[in-house]
Amino acid sequence: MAQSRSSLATRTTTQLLDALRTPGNEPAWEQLDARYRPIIASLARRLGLSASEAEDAAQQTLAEFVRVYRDGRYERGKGRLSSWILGIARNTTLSALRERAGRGAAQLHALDKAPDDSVVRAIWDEERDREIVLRAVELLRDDSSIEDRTLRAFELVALRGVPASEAGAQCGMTADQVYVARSRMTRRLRDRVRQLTDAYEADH
Amino acid sequence: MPPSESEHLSPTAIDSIACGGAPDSSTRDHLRSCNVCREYVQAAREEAAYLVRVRALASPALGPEDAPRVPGYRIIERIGSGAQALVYRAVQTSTARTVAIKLIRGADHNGAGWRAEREAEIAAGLRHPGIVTIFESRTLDDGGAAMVMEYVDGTPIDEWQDPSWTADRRHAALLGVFVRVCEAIHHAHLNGVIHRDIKPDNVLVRKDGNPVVLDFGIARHGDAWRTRVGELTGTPAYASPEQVSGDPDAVDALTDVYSLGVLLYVLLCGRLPYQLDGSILAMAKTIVDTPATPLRSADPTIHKDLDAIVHMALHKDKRRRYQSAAALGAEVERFINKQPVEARGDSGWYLVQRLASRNRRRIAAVVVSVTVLVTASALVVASMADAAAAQRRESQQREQARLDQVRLRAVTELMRLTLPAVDAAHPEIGAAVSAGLGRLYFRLESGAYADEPELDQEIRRLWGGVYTGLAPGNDAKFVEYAEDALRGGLVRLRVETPSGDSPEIAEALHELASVLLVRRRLGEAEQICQQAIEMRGRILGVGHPANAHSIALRARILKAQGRLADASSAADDAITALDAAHSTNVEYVHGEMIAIKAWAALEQAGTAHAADLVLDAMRIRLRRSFPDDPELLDSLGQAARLINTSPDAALSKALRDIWDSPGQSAAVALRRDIEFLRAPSQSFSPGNAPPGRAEAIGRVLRLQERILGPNHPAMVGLLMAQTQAAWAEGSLELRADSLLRAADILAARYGDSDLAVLMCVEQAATVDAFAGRLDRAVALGERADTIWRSYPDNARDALLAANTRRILAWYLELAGRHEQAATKYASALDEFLNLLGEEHYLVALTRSGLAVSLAGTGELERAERLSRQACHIADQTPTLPPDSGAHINFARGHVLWILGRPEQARPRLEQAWEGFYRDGAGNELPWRAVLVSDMAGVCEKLGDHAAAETWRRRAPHISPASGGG
Ligand SMILES: [Zn+2]
Repeated sequence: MAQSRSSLATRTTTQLLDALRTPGNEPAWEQLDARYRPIIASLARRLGLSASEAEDAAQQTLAEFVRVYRDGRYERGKGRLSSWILGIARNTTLSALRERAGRGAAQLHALDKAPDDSVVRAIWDEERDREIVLRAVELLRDDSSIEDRTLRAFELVALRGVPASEAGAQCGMTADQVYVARSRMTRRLRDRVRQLTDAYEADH
Repeated sequence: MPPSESEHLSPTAIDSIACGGAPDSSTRDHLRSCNVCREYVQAAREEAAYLVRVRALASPALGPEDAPRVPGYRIIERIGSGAQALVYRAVQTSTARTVAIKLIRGADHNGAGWRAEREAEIAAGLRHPGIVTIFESRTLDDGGAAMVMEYVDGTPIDEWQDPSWTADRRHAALLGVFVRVCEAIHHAHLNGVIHRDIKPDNVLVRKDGNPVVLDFGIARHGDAWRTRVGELTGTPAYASPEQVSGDPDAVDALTDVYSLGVLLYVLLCGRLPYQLDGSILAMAKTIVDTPATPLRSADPTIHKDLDAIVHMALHKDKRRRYQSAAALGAEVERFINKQPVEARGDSGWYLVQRLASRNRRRIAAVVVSVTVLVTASALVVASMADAAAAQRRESQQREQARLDQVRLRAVTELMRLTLPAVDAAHPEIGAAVSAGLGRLYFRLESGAYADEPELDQEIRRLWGGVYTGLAPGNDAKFVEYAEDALRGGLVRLRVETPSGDSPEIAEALHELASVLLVRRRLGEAEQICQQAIEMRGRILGVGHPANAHSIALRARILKAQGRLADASSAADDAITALDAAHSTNVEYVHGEMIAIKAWAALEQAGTAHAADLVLDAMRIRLRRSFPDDPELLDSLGQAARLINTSPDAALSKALRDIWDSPGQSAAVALRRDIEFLRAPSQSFSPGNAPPGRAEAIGRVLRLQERILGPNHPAMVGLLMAQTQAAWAEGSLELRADSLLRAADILAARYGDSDLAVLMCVEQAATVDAFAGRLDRAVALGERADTIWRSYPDNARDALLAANTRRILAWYLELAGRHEQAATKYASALDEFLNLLGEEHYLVALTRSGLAVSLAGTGELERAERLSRQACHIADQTPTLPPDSGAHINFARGHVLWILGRPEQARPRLEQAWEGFYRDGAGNELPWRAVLVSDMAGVCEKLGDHAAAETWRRRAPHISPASGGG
């Protein structure tokens, strides 16, 4: 496991949950919060809430999880943490939507079942993957051992789809150098993504 | 990494081949002979595929290429740029909150960081719903500064438009919004902040129709169109004469009043009040010298009062303008309310102002301190800031308290609506809330807020308010606490207020009277309420909205005492006061007062106008969106009585049309429906709902339609409730019908492609599919698919859109249209593969669907392969939802059976049955016919005739046309 300041970021959820058993372990809570809040908010938005409603839904979901956890109602044996949080997030979002439907507002779903669970889960997975990729990119950006122009060339060519020759021209590199940089950086990105994915999902 | 030795291919060449480029002959020769380069090509291919997925995930959140790095925030896109600043939409990573970040360039502007911080500090003090909220400001590494503020999703006020509006309707809406802009600007003025750059781009209107003013204090240190050396750049179209004449000391709150005048002018006729062209200096001269072109010569249809208002706001001499933004706003409001406007009277107003200006300093101080209590226009200007600093702090605190109060009122309303309903099913929620309020009470009593008397008082009042807002009988103990808290607060207030009169005391009295009403101590309640009314009358004036509410409370108390005649005349007083106060959002209070009068009229049987009153109250209360709303039920109760007392009234006839049934009079039937509706809907779920609720709601809907007119938006709320009730009662057809009706109303109002319409349509389609009405399910599925296609690519949720298509394919398949189903499945599959990658079970699910359709069209080989792939993924997915697993097993079993492999098909089909129907529910009914017939066939084939017979008996009653079976 990576040590250093990113060690919390790549700590597995199981480890975070263990850390939570220590009273007053704020960093562990914050980490858990930072990990899931964006995913929950994106999910809620895609299910039809407005940006601010989605933020509220994320807040409510996490608060509810904290309650569940502190009351000892969370049993690790019964499914993954992510499924647990997803379940709370889904209910919170749907009840927000229903409440809105009750008010007869413009955006409304009177949902008792739809959208089906498989799609909710798929949205969650997609948002989690997005979050992981973005965090991995941020870790690369924070990595002082990577040369600025290498990083920039990589971002242009790999993340923004700029042709290698053009990216090279912008960064003062040849196209060949850009391809070499891309391979090297892609490998690093993959390592980070793998680490983060383990951290998010190793919580049976 | 590709080799560097020159005999191997270059990285560029390798990438080109990996991306499908055609190699020339020498490259081809080299590849044929060189393992190393072949491996690199393979690796490059894999890398490219990986990056495609990374790009798909990252690109929506990557932000523009040149975006700055602000630690803790993820920049999404640029949303504005100006002379000094760039504005980005961003997400705070720790809170997932969407924010706007304004970046003030550092390199060429000294002290940008300081300025931004100062700006943030000033603007952060402006807490007002009409003013953008500032969260923080930061100095960046490059010396620039970032200001983080609330992200406002809105339209510049001059572009604000709704396709359904007529010109008159838009006009009226704009005036209403303009009044609120004036109020926001006035709030800033009271806090010593002048905007200085009011223009349409800085006034956004949110989707809910509320305006937000941006960029407060930005121009404070140099107007936006003025560079530091004092030269004018850009177009000062909204600037005042004193601004362009370059005397910074002459700029005060009245400058903003002028700009508001220009804004109003532009909103009304779409052009500027004078033609600005030529050099900046020429423009400045125009602004100083040229009077505004009269509005009515630009557009003769504009009312002459508006012309006069704009004219006064645009006075070159600032002493002759409205003397505050609030005064301008109030004037426009008077116009909206069709009252005479001051601008058209003689110069009385002007004279008063002149008089006042001599004693300005003194008056300002007085007015600031009471200004939030009396909504009268204030004479305050920012130049008085120092003298009034202390009062201003106080007024800020009061304003803050007022905002908190509004927020808590909202909580009260929420609790009032939810708690009684929640109670039955979830007593623990009620208990938790009670416990929380209990804690707060003890904190109050132990003096936790003693050093903040304002807060202490506010919490006491609100705390009492929360409880009185709840239905009686909730928790007697806490209502008792509420009374104690309020009484304790009153004692302290009276000690602090020797004169005995203060708005706070009046409010505490009002709340206490409400508590006593809840506690049914009616005599005392009446007495205390009377004190509140008298005190409010003395301090705030009879016409103040707060007073109207106290009078309304008195009417309520009298009604509770059974003194209907007195209650009725109090209700009359309340209505008069409410009308005089012009406050908004009092419709329901109004409804309640009319209802009180109606009860009094009903009591005196034969009173001719009882029917009118019942109808008037009904008209207001039918707009409520819950069928179990107590006020709606109250009105229905009046209606039930009216049928007997005034059988000839038009309303009675309408009621009989709806409620008359053989063997039961309309009044009896209506009373029975009221009892039905009173039971909260949330506590019902399938299986335990008494039938009839959905139909009862249907009758109220008919009444709603009859009284409010067809397709009134208020009907959506009841339709949704009906949908829920129909679900609980298992009545599929009614459920689909009410969803579709809601969809129609929403489509008429918000357009056919609104997301809400989509959701209703999709749900109705699912219901139809379950009910076996497959043609309609297909038609609705196609409608949903079309709605998604009408969205531009960047606004469409690709995943949800693909899912809509997958479900449409499923309906097509159920309807036996295998080929069309296969096409839709294939298109959804492509999309899912792009979005989720090869291994996601949603991909598996879609492959399974496609396999079933292909089995129908006879493409068995593909069907076999797809269903096998799907099972493979499903087996590796521990988080697979059970019904997805059942689908996948069903598809596999179905295909295997058609391929003539019954012994392999059997376990899959059995697992599918287990997954779908384990709990005995008729879930996934549509597949049931096929599944059962497959299993019967399988068992027959395997010689197990008894089992085959058992399976045949499981066939559903509804037998949708379906393929493969
Ligand atoms: Zn080679």
